[in-house]
Amino acid sequence: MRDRRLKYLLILPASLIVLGTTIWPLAVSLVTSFRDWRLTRSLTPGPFIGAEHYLTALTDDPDFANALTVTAIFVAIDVAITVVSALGLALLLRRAGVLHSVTRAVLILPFAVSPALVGISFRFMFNAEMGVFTWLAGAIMPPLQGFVWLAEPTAALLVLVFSDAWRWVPYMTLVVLGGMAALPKEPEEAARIDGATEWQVLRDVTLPALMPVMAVVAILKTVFALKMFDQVVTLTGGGPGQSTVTLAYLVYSIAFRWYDMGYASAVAWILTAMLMGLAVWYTRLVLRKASP
Amino acid sequence: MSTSENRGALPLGRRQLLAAGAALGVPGAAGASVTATPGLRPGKPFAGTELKVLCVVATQFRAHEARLAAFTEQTGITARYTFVPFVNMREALTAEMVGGGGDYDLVIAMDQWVASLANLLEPIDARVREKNIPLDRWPAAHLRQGQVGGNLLGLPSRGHVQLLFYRRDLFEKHNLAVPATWEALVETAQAIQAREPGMSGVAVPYGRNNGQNLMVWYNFLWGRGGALFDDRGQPAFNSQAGLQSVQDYVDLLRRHRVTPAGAVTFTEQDAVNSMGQGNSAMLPVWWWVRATLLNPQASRLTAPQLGFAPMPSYAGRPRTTFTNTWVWGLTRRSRRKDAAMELLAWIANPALEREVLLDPRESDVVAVMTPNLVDEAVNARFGGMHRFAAEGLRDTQSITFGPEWPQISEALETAMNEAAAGSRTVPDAFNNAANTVRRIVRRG
Repeated sequence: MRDRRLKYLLILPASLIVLGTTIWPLAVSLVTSFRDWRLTRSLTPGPFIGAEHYLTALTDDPDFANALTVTAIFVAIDVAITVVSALGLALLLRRAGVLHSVTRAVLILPFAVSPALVGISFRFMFNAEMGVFTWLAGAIMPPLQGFVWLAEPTAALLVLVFSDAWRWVPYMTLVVLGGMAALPKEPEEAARIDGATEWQVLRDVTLPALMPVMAVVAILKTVFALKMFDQVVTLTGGGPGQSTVTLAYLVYSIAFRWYDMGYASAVAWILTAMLMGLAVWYTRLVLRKASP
Repeated sequence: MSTSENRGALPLGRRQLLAAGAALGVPGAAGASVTATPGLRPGKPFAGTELKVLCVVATQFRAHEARLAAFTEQTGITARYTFVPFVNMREALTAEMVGGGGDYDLVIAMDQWVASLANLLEPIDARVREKNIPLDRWPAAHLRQGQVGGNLLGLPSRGHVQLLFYRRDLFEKHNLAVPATWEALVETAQAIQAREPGMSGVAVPYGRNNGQNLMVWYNFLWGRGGALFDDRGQPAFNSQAGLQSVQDYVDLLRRHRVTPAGAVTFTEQDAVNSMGQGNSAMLPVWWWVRATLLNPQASRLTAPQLGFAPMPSYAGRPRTTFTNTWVWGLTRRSRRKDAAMELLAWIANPALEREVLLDPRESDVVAVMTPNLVDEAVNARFGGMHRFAAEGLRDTQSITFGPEWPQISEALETAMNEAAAGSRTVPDAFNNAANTVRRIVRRG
């Protein structure tokens, strides 16, 4: 009995911290999302207006529709590139050896760079006059000489994806490598003895066994891609036009530029609902994988 | 965010200032603000009070902070400045408004935010009258930016006008006249590009960043006889004159090709860098940029290379300038409003502004008070720049920034960026922006 009480006592401080820093702000923002609160009118939240903000966002706000579309496209491309690249790199680095070990160690470095700094760096590297990537692209493909990457909507979105993939691919590669290391060797060896080619081994043995890990990588990356904010601020500013305005950036704009706290909370909660759905899916997947 | 720690060095700074004033032959320049700030309450009734001040990073305000010992000497009040970079300033003010802690007694805000921050700022009409601070010391174009709904919410302290900076050395080398019209600017830019390979004629920003891609365009708009809004407060920027003004501005990039190719993504700082690094020959921008263009750590230009002139206009039309004004306001939740008003009176003293302008250690050109804009010594130091500013301020139009302005500005800057990038035609982009603005206005 005493042990049971002690258990709760021990987790109490952590629970209080989570309650105060996560649950409470989330609850307040949920309540705020049902109220009219524009700082230009009042310093305190206004009356309850039901689901009006949610209805406005989902039916009558082109900015929200645009941000949702941009976010969906960004997430789809970003996750696809990250997962495929991470798998490819992991396969390349799978073998033992000094060079492979050093490369694996170095891989963590891009992930250590702050995303805001990544955005600033890429902005310089894609500068039309002095950017190294601009120059490189022009040297490899002469028609791209002088191309202003951040001025064209599709290209700007791809640059945003590229900057995010640059940061995440190495980390996800390490995750996939970890997954590969846990795979039993016997099935692959048996397939080779039976005369399977390396491609057949990869397609029919390795990849199916690796699918749970790849699913975790994909879901995790989707969660992080949905929250894309830092590089939008420092790399594209949401432009050209509104072609790189993501949901997270829109929430920031509504709250801190347009001072509409009620509506910003509602849009934030739509984003949160998506993230929670993915988190639940991720948790179930991990639990299923862990269960015997 | 950083809190300055310079207060310990103040007495020395004051002596240096007095010496500098004397050296410049400006009798009483330094002494005026030190010993005789008009309007301060006698008897130091607020002695011992410490004020908290939220301030944007600017050399002008660092200079104020460095002179706080003089204020303390007169009032017994101390002040702690918290400096916030421009890019974070709006968030800092929003946090102050939402947080409601009354952390700051005096805050500074940019004109475009003032109406949105009306709930943060205390009306100060009565306090200003009580202090006998004459409002006509500020040009109307600056003063009205601190007024919202008939209330005075802030006093101007930092204000900018636009000038056309140009490479004097190249203009002399090729015997070119400084353009007075937008048409002449295009011809001059083309002439420079033909004679100086690799150099762009003029650097202007078209990228999205706090409405910076609109600030030069406003002069095109007014020059064409257009306006942002009609008398009913509805969008007028997509009128025929308005659309033509956008076309003219975008044509610098897309048709005449006299800007750097990357200008479509340029922020204002990128445009300044282009000029400073010797890649562009002209730059229509705020006057404070002079300090950046002559800063050896940020620019390759030297003073003899850099000329300036009033902003061009259309032939036969008056010259205009868009203004940018920062105003100091008292916060509603401050528990030390009377003491904060003493500091505001000290800051609003023209002698303090003049003292900073004439300090040989300072290079900030910024002035907002008419006596200093036309001051002989000030103009002698900055080559007549302030007289140009006074002229521009006299004739200029300005925008009434309502509480929805930040959202409206974002719709406009998006449209400008789309038109410049070519992802939409000018009419398509700005008619779409007009629809967006109507929706913003309707929602209120």
